[in-house]
Amino acid sequence: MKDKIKIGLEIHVPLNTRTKLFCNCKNSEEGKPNQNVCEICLGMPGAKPRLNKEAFDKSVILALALNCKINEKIIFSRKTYFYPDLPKNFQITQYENPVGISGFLGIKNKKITITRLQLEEDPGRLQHKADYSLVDYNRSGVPLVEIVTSPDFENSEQVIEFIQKMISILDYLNIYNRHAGFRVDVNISVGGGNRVEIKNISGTKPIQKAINFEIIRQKIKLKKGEKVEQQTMHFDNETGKTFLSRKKETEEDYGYIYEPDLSQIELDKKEIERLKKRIPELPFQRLERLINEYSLTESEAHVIILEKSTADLFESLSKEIDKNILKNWIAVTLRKVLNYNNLKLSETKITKEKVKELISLQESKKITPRVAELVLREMVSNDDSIEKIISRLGLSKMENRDVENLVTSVLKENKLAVEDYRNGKEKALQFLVGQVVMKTKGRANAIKVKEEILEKLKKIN
Amino acid sequence: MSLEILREAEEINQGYGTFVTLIGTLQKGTPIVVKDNICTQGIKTTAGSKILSTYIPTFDATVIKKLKEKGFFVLGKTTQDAFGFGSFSTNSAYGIPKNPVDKTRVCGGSSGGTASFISLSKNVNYGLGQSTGGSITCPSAFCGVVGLTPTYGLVSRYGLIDYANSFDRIGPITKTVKQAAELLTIISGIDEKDQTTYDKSEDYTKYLGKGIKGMKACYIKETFSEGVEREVRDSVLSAITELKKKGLQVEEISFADLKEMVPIYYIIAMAEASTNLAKFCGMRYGLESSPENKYYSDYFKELRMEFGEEEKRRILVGTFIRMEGYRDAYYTRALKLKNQVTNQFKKIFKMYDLIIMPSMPIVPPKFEDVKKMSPAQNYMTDFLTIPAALTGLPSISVPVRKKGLPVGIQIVADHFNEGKLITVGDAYER
Ligand SMILES: [Zn+2]
Repeated sequence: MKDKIKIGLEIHVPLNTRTKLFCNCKNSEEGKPNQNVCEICLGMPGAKPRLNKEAFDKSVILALALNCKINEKIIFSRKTYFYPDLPKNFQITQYENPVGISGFLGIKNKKITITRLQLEEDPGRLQHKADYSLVDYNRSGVPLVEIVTSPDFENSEQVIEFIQKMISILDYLNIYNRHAGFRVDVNISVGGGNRVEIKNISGTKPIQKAINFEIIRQKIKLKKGEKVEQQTMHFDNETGKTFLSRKKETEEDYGYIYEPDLSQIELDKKEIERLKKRIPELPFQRLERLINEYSLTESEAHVIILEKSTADLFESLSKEIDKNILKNWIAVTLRKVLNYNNLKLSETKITKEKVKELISLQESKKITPRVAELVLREMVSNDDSIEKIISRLGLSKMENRDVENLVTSVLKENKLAVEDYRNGKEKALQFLVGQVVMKTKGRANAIKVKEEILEKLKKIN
Repeated sequence: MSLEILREAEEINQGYGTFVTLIGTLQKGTPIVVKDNICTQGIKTTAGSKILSTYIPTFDATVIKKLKEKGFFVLGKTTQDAFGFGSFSTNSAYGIPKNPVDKTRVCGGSSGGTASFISLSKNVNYGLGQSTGGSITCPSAFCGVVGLTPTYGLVSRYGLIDYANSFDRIGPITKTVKQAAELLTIISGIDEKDQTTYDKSEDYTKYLGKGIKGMKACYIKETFSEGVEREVRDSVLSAITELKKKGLQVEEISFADLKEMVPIYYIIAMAEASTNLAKFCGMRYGLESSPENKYYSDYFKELRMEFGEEEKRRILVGTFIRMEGYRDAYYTRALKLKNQVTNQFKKIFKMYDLIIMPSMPIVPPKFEDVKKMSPAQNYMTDFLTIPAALTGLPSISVPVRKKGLPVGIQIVADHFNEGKLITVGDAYER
């Protein structure tokens, strides 16, 4: 009890709507600074907000997917504070009547309570220079959903599990602009002490690092008999440390009032049912089903369902390709290529038909697994035929004679290694094999190359 | 357009200070003068405040767009109390407009410049005013012109520089009820850019020239008693007698806590105003100063010192009202009371078509007397216009005195019943 850790989250999720929350500007940070702006998102005198229906619907869909109760009256509020990135010096957000309340999301052996889910506008972006700052309002007015949890987490692993699950749900609902990235505020208290808030961390690794650092910091303080003060901190990803923020944000009074330019919204049951129908099978539901239906292990299924599009690919090809080959191919090879590019399958030019062709080429031993992976990498951004890609990259299967020639030249170029091998250094042989495989761009089988080298060395002898 | 219009406008402006900006070039179409808190593309729009002395909007307010489509052109932008904060147009950073009947007296506020000019001009019949707590009715009554405040949500506020968004309304200030009906027909209607608008627009000229026989009105006893000057009371009561002669049924009712509405209104208005004025900080538009070697918060503070006295007062009071610990006692409670009051009026309109009262409790005061008033006394002069302001009800002010200082009769109808106001106002004029 003395060391009980309580962690709560506020997750800010940018939505992938076509336009901003209160105006018709493009919801995109691409292009020049201050390009996607208008009188509304710049807060010019006389301009008024108008609610983007798409953003509102998406926030309700997310609330429903997270088991929230939808408020009978949904109202926007003004949160007033002065900051150069905030054009009106108030943010249109929600206070008393957010979109959703009292939801939950389960993680391993635990149910995390979601106290509220609200829709709000993002401020602009500041860029600090040596003795001045620049403001880019392209982000001003971008729709954000803020998800607030109870302090139900006990360690950073649970937090990361929750966030990964959340990202996966957002992907399935197709509402999240993952290029903009989510931002998280974490509050932590140890042993029933004061709550410390760490603001604005993005990325799962920094979140984990920040939490672990802060827990240790507070534990050390408590051990020394010192009091942990209620304060707002920031996390420096470079040093891996939390530090005190300049402003005492916990003491600010935002003077909330209702936003009088937007009328309150009362959703009827029919409308809620209509939005519910837009929720597809969610990742955790699909996980269960894939394990049962395809007898996958939990970890295999987990990788496959991570993204809706890879799960879709698996299910649609499973009728045509051997399940065991397919699951490895999707869970290992494809996952590796996607992670390497930091892309979702749906964001690449990889199609179901091509994946099918590639796997069958590999299965009929026309190409090596290594070549298959190289081709797949190429397919990410290129819609040439597989045949074309193979010939363009010079990856067509090598003739034995080509391998022989390469071995000869590698042995010539690496006389020192040959010498070492003859003197009993096994590692030198591995090096020589590696050199040859590299020159074939992975087209040659390493075992065959090794045999060829040994053969050659005997001959030279 | 004839040069005569320009020449006359310049002359009136010289004598009465009615314009912040007077467009000095010849334009085609029907001239209209516009309160300076309504955005006009390419024409400086100051809302009467020094802080916006350099603001040139990049867009037209929806009402301006509609008027231009109907062949109107903006002759000038008129003087007003800064951001509409005042009842006498004396809180202006661009000269104080004078009463057309007596230059030593105020012309009322906050749409003072428009009302004074429409009263004085022989060539221009159409003006746009804007009301939050009575800023169309008050100057119309003081200047002897017609002012129509439409139901909240009938006319788009897009492009209006906000005072209190829950109450702000744009409406016609004209010489006759007919002209007000024409103008309202053009500017009303639902607007996708203002989500508080309704699809309730009509051709209001069809309500002209109709009889008032069978229409039922009431007047509130308390609006003719304490705090209402005798000459106002007498003029309005004799106007009621005339209306009766034309067939209007009139009964007396009592509404005891009329004056209680003043604080309810001011609490909500100031809370909203203090957030609306937050954006003025010397960035992006309007007044600027050198940011050299200043942290942003110091720069903001320094620039915001340029607000006028009344602007500062309302920012301070409005911010206080919103703070934790006071918010529930003032802001939240006022919102509840606002709904209660609205329901009380809705009940009256179940029995009557119209409520009649004086537009203002006083005749236009002298500048020197206004100077002596405390802010609280000042706010209390709005007690007859605030009921309709607080509840979003439509009202019309029609001049009832041909000689002496102007007095107006105020007629209030149920939401979206502008037609009745036009019928009665027009019948009175005939
Ligand atoms: Zn915009």
